[in-house]
Amino acid sequence: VSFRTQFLGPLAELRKIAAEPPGFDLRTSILTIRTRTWTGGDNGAEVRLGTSTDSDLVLVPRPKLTPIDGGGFLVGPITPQSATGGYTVAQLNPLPTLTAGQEVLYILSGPAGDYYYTLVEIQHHKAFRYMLKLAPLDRAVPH
Amino acid sequence: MSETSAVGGLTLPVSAGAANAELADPAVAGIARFLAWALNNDLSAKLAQMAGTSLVAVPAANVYPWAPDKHWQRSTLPGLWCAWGGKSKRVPHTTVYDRRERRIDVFYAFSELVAPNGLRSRAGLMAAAEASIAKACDRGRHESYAPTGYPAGTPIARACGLLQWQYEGAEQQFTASIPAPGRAGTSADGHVVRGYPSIKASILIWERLDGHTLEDPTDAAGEVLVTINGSDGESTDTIPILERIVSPPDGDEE
Repeated sequence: VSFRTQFLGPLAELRKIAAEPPGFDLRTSILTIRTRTWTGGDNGAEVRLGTSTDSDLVLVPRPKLTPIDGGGFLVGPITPQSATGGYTVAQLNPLPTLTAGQEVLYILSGPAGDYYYTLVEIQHHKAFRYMLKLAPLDRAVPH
Repeated sequence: MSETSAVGGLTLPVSAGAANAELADPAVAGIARFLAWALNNDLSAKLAQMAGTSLVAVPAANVYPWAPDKHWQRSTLPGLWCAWGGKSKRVPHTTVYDRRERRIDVFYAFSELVAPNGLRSRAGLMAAAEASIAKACDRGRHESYAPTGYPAGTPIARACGLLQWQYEGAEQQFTASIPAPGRAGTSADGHVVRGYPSIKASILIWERLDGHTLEDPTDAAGEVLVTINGSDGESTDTIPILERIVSPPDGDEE
């Protein structure tokens, strides 16, 4: 066990205390990574064809959001997975493993309601944090 | 004569009408309603079998008689926009009256699709929509479609006060795509992209610039007695050899 992996657990706890009640409660938006699976048609499974079912991953703790140019957010730091919590890159970005009839939506739920985003970049080169760059799917702005 | 007259389907001065009633462009409104009807007539049966996006081509509330500009994404989709675009032109048409030519821009956008995994089944949708618009303009009427205030089958040109309307063509776009180049600090290359299948079309219309309106009784045409007289060529005496009465128009002439 390395110093890094040993430190990830306490780091995740510290971030949770900063983010959520009964801690400092500084993060007010929840990020849900939703994998939506469609039934498809005569050409096989296809996104936005048929009926859909959702599989949600709600990130804990709530992540920090930093506005970026273009109306999106830089989301994180998100603690990499360890024995006591955190997330893998594959969990944060399910895109490479999707099948034909699946799509991924990133939903930020905050004071203004639920808004949909798409992942445009994932930064996974740091030892203690992953970062997601999200672009808004809602064209009616501001919201 | 009265100064009241029409330009195309619009009578000037515009009547006051009811309080807060719209001031519509008759040509744009009439063409928009007809094209929306045609798109629904031609495509909605198929779309109703394709769940996941809109089950109709153009919902009744989504016909927009204004230019889409850069705010069309705020309107409910799918939607059909029709608006006068570009510069109008006066063209001599007959010795009695001129015509006004205008270009009507048509924009049709369908529900958001996801590329590439959501394109296959609806890959032909915009071609079908463009075909529907082309057919509607070419026929100019449909036996099942009743323009506002007219019986079914009435030509749109007549209902809208047009001398003529011509379909000029269209192009398709996968528009308002996200992520877009430069947005959120990234290139769109290689990403899953969400956008709207859409087409932009144009229609050229001819509208008559009417002259003064004739009034009754001062301008009313009446019966005219026409007499042809003949003489022997030597004296000034003449005798009538033919008398006829020319009747005024009764309003039924084509």
